[in-house]
Amino acid sequence: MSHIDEGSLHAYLDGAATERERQEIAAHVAGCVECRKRLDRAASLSSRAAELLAELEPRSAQPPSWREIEERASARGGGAARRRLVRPSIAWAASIALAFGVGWLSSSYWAQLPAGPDALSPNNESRITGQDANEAQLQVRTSSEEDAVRTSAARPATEPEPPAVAASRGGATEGAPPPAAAPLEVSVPRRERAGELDDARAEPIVLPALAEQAATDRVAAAPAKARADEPALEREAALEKREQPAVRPEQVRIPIAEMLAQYEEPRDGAEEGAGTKFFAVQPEDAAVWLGSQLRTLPELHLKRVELGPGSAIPGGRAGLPAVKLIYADAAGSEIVLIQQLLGSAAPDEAPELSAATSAANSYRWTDGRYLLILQGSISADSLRALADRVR
Amino acid sequence: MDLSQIYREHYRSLVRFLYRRIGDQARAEDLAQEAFVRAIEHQPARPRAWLFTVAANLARDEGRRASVRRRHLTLLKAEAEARPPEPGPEVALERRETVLRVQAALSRLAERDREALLLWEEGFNYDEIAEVLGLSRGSIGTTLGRARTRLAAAYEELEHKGSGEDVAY
Repeated sequence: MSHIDEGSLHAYLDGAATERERQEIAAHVAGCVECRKRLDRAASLSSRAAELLAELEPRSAQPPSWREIEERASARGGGAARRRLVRPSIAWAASIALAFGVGWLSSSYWAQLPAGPDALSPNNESRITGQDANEAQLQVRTSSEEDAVRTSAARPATEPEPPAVAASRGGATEGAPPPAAAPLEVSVPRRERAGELDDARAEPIVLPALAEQAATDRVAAAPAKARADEPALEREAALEKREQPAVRPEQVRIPIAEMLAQYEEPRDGAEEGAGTKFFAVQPEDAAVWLGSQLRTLPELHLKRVELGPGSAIPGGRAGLPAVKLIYADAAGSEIVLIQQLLGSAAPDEAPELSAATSAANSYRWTDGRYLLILQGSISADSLRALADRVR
Repeated sequence: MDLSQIYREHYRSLVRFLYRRIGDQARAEDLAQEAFVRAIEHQPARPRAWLFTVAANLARDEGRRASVRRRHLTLLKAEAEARPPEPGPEVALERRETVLRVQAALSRLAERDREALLLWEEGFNYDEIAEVLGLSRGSIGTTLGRARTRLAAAYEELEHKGSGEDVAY
């Protein structure tokens, strides 16, 4: 006599057997001691598995409203719908038009270059010198011109031209100085770009309302009150020396001094303290704001990167941006690596390692140019070990 | 069926399924919301099964990043052993160890077995589990039986050893 197989026993217990199977199993078990034992064991295993899994109960958290989910889908779906509406024929036409545009711009560019020995006449000397000195910038500017053309074509006729684009175009075509103010600004990708990503793990870029306003206004020059902040000026000077990335039409440019000044001013009703002023950014943008390559914990899983004011971190320097790298350990606990580039103004002090006890342990140390803080709900020893792994 | 109603009724279930699958609540919530966003875009005919299928796929992608976390867990283990028990929170510490042990035991299961078990615990019947996992209905009982047996055995073994181990989702 054959016994009941394991799968059928579990299906019987789970109520998934058909009526006929159920009757057959019941009849068999009634007369088979071995299968009865196996059935008891299967029932025990079933309840034990449920009991164990019940230990893995997530904390109760308020889910976002359905409207928020719909808005996210709408933001992404709108882009997808637009992409679907672009027919191949239109795409081809756009490509050809773009090719002509690039050709025309290239010819304009080459027409401005000196053509042979005549170009070395005294009248042209200053212009040639400027071109030699800014050769790389000219190449970038040509790319910016193409972007500006595309931006203008896509923009409604009534919409004013952004000052940054106008400055870029003027500098390239009318011999005006290169966009000297540009190094004072940092490009921050617009939030809509993140919404187009299919990757579910891509953290959206969340700019605070003040930053959005600054982006909308597109203020080319920082206000004088922000420039009075000495550390901010030093940061601007440092950024001036950096290679200026080409500006894409999807980007907005936000004066760094104004941004920082706004960060340092507490908003009405906003709670003071760490975390209240930080917002998520892409790592590459955080590095630009920090003014240096990010210090990281390469062995941990990076959840997100946040940017905020130095005044919001313990011992941080006001007027300089600080960056938080939020990692997750296997248990889901967060480990936060905060960093601030103090630059040449940093006190020349020996590396310092100190522990603070609060809800989460925290290590803070400096190495002359960097302020680094490691926070997490793990022991001081683990934090110390992690601190050694910061690269 | 109205997706907003599905959201109200099954969001927490989806988060729990993902949390048990990947062990990170914040990520579980992110992925659950992502699944619903995609459901709005695709308007599936059978949204509940569709959502859990998408969630399972997202969890598998998430699992590919688990090796990084696994390396870190070695450090956490050392930390857990070195951490002096504070007065009072023995219960919390014991519970945390239990959670880690269950996660480790769950990670020892084959992917299909694990997902079948988690779907069953979320109230899926055999037909629905078969649909989500692309298995025949007749194999679900065997799959669940194997999953339950291995989960219980793995947990007992880890409990006997007295510690958790690296979680490999």
